[in-house]
Amino acid sequence: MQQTLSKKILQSKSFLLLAITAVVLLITYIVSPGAFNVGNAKQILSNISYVGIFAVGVACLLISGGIDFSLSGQATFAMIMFAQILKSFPSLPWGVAVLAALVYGVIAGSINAFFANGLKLMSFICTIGMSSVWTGLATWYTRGNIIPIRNASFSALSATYIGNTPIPMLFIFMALVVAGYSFMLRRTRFGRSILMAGGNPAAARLAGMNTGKIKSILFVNASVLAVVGGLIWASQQNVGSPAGLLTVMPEMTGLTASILGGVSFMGGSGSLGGAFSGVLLINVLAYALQVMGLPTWLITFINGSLLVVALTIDGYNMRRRFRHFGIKGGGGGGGMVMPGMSK
Amino acid sequence: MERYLEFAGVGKAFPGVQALDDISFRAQSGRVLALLGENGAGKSTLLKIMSGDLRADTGSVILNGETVSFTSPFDAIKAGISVIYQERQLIPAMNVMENIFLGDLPVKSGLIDAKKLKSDTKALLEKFGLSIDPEIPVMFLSTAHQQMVEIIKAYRRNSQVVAFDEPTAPLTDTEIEILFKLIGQLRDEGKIIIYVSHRMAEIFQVTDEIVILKDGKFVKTLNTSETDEQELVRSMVGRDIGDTYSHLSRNDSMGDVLLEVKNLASPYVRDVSFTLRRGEIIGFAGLVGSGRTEVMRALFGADPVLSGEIKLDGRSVSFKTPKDAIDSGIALCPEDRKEQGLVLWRSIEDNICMPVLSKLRKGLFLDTKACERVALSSIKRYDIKTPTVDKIVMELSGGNQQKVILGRWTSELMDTKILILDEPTKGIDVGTKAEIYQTVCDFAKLGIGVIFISSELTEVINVADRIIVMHEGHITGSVTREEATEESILALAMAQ
Repeated sequence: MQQTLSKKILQSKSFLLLAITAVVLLITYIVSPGAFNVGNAKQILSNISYVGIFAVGVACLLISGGIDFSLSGQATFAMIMFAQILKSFPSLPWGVAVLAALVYGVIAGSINAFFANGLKLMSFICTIGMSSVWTGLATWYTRGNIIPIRNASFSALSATYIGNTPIPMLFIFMALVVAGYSFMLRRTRFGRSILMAGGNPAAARLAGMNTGKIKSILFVNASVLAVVGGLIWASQQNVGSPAGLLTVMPEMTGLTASILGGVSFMGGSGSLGGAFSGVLLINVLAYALQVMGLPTWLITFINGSLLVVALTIDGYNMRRRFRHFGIKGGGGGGGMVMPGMSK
Repeated sequence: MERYLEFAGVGKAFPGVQALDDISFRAQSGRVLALLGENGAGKSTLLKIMSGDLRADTGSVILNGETVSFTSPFDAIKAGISVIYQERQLIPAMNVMENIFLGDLPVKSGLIDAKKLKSDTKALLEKFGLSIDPEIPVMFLSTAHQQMVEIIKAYRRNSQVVAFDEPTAPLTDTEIEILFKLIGQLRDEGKIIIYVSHRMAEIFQVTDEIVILKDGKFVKTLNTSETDEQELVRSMVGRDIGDTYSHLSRNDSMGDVLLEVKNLASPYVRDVSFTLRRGEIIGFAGLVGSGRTEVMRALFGADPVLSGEIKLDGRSVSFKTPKDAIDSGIALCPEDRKEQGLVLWRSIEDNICMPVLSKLRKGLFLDTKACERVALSSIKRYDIKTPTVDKIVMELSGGNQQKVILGRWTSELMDTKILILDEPTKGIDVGTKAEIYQTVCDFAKLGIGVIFISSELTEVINVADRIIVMHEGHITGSVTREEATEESILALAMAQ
């Protein structure tokens, strides 16, 4: 039993990704030992704090067979809304503005859920449209300018570290979110339902599961988490920015990380541990490339390549499984169902 | 040189099943060869190997003396082998001529030569005496016409081998006549024709020789003109059919009326009325597409009910979703296990516990020990061949997969009153079939009302107490087991 457990860990995607991360760190250390300083550590961990939150929402949605490309747009809109509320009502506690932003998240997520389940549109395409809707509105409202946030206690959120370590308090918050959702996915009825509904919606429905409801909840969940992630970013930058998040696209990082971490693009399998390890790797890699003095375009290029590689591996695994069991539809990708592409 | 297609020692295994075992026979040009066998005999697998969908583990396929090996359907088409499946392989929004010339559209100076395309299509259609408008998108054509387009597509590609998989299933009698004329024309032109069908009458009408398969093995080749139906059935079954069934231990005490369906109509069926008693097994027979599955989907809340009444235990019920039906004690094992029944990449435990997760909670969390217990008891009860509850169901054989679904609906936490089994023995080996028949009878003994849908007439006639026959979305008759014969059921199914 003990042996199989350790074997399981060694064979898991999370372990592989963590091992690669360690190798990347090692190489970085050899190439530029000076990069290992507290400032850099703080920076990486701060980045992971908000990207990790995005990734949880993305991964859960992917596992249920859904997808949302408008999360950065939603986070941007929420952040602008939040900054404007604080600017207009300086005496208001920031918690109230957070609440307003979360309510917005619920609404934005419900809209995507309605398009996917009510109108049966392809969320793959539909959310790309919604992304432009939200960023368009944010840009129109701000005329492209940032809104500064001058609220000491809100800014302090992201400037608080655990004791003398470079670990931000919000990193711990994110870790708790990952752990909580991971537990939910593995050990609760709802979590099990997500896996089953994502694995085969038709079978899940005929076994009495409300697949539409499950997916809707996860759309809203992804939006709310995106808003939280956006607010963490805002707290780090002290601004509400109509363009800031769109250059980093945390949902794309979340998507790449999830698929690298073994979440199937076709839904139904994957773990949050895997997704989180993916986030870790991507962020460490990006930072390593940066400190090694590689230009930004190369980093973008490598990130994109990672996504394609992850998809290739996922697709290869699928086809191999299909072939092996002689199931029609796997070969040639003809029968593959993309998340948000099926009805 | 004579042209032929030969299978030499072809074998193919799936996990748990040897689908094909050392199959060797030869199909000659200018002859129609029938592939005959029970469900699961290996006909489809053989077709798939021919068409490049699957690769054989052993043996080879030889076309005119040359060994051919396909890695994709495209390779097979290039080599001159076309398989006409039941599911159309046409592009719905494209018109007839584009579909026929798909992949090889006539081109003049870089552009599609629309004139030539049209005249060539017309010539082809005329050659076969078909009056189909070449410019109409194929989605507007009838099933029969779509099939004709597909045949012409295969002909146009200069296919040497044309194989048909149950081509007449969706066709009416006149359409079948036209199809046979087409097949005759292809034969006379020296094509190698392979014809898969369950319908005896057709086989005598259209084929020249018959290859019989059983449980993945080659049994024998017979000349159509020198054999008769009895000999075929004997060779296919390889045993006295009555045997499996006469050993069944049946339920002999039926209870009161459990389910009453009155004039049920859904978008796919109309005016369906029947009753089901406790401990009764009713069979639903009919050709593919006759609406059997659709009646059950409406009953189960999976399709909308337009009108009519469903009474369960004397009370009027209406199910908006499958969950409502399940909560009332109705369970459905769907026709397509892999597409609709199982979540293939999840474990046996996950699949068995699906409908009872709400009863497996410990506070907020899932009681994983109880989940395992439920799964284990089903594994034991149905003798599912697996080392652990964690094995993913995709790795199980068809028979064991079916048992997982049965286990799901009859676990200790389910209170199933009505069990609907839609083609429960499809693609399952003979031994497991017998087990499933007995299981069905055991359900009846427990007072469960069982609805048993099957396309295998012998099976439905011998397992069910009463057989309801459907044709084109409505019921054409109801026969008891004692008075049912294959002929009488088939006549009702074809509404003759």
